[in-house]
Amino acid sequence: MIEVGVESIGFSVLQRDAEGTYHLAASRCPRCGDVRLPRREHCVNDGLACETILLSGKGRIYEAVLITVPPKGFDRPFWTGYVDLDEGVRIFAQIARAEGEPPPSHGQPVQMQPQEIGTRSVLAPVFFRI
Amino acid sequence: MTRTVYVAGTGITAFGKFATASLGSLGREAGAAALADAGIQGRDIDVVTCGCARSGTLHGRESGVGQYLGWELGIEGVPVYNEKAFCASGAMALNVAHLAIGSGRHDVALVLGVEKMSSRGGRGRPLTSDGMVLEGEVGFTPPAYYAMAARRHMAVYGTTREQIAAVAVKNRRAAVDNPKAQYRAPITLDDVLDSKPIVAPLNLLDCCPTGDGAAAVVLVSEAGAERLGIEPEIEVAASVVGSGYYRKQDRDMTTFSLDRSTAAKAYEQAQVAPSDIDVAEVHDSFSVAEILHYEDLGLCEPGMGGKLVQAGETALGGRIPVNTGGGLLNRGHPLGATGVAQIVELADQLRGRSGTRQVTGARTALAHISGGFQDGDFATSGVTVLARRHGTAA
Ligand SMILES: [Zn+2]
Repeated sequence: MIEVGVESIGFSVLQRDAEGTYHLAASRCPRCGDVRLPRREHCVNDGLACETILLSGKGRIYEAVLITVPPKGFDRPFWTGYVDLDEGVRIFAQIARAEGEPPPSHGQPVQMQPQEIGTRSVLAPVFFRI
Repeated sequence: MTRTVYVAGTGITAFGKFATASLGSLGREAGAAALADAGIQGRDIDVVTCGCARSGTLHGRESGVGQYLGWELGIEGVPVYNEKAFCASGAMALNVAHLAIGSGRHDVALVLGVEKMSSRGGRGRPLTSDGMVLEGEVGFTPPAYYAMAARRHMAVYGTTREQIAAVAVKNRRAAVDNPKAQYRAPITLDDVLDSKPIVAPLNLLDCCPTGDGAAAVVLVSEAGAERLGIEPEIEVAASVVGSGYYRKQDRDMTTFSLDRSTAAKAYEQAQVAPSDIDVAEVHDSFSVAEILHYEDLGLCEPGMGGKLVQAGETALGGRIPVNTGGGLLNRGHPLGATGVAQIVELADQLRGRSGTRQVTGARTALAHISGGFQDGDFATSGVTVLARRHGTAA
């Protein structure tokens, strides 16, 4: 299965932990603590090599929108938006909306779960309201 | 900047979707018109700058578009700078020419902006997505970005859907009087609100179309004007570009700090205030963008952009008319051409050549454009201020 990031930036933004659970893999600077996703090799502040950390996947929706006209690779409308993660990173991702659930909106707490998205079934971080 | 830079001539093609046009034919038409308007020849040009963003993707000509178009105009043996800065490519070409002349290195520059997008192969990636390839994998499109900004602005300031749609109606009204624009049939608020939903709250008529087109500007120094025996009427009072601010990640999407920064530098360089601006060209790639840009350019207070357009203050006849040629929404947005087309529109206004869409007595004009994405912010913002020279009549 293709994981998101491999085809666009050359590496997956997801990584499995020892138990086999997927997390978002970010970088953190050992000096200033700057966390970046996708992960950086070097900190822009210090030039130091960053370490990889696995994120909690928890955050809050900054803003969400319904994409009605699906772009290439998608065959139906979907919700998407910016999520501000607890570790200080903002990520653009799809947001799940179950049948009967109200539309996603600013400030709602969410949790990441990897899902296959689009017509090519790419494994991507998707955020669910909690 | 050590020397004053002047606009000596402008030229523009019709904007639209033209099956038989090529980069060469578009650039040649606009360039020849600018040279003729300045009253000069191709051999008078010391330096060429050219903005074109998608020639590689669409036409297999990644580099050297400026050399190609220059030679179409008989220009050879001069430095040529090719600028690729997404939607701001044309503004960047103008900025480089401004540097070249202002620094004293050259005296007569031809600025070209061109793009041929109607013949792009397939549906491809969104056209401004170079810095958003990862986001593109999960479905990012440029209207989604502006739709998020719209929803934030509506939530924080109470901006209404009707105010956003009013931008599209206003700019179409302006395009009715612009024979170069792509879309010219008048539209109503209901037409916008009932058009095809793209990314709520934005519908099809809130989004600019692509297209084909070219625009060109001749810039000269005082010495250049003397050598050519011409008397240019317009001064480039400021030309400022800048990259975005990527350190902060939880950015506020109701305001773009990059545009605030380039606008402040441009006002400083031109020694004018927002209240001095008589007419402006503002990057309305999406209707809501124009509202945010009003605020970041200081044309109104934060949060008041929706009310500004609703009150008609940015329409022809209003306090500060914006996008008097119809804007990107109606000219269409051939990326490299747009930044130069804005200068052509404003130069026409300052020279009193805008006919039925003339802003009476316009002396000072501002052009704004933002281009591309990087790390969630914009890749480029450009602000240009033009001023009619004292003692010249419109
Ligand atoms: Zn650091």
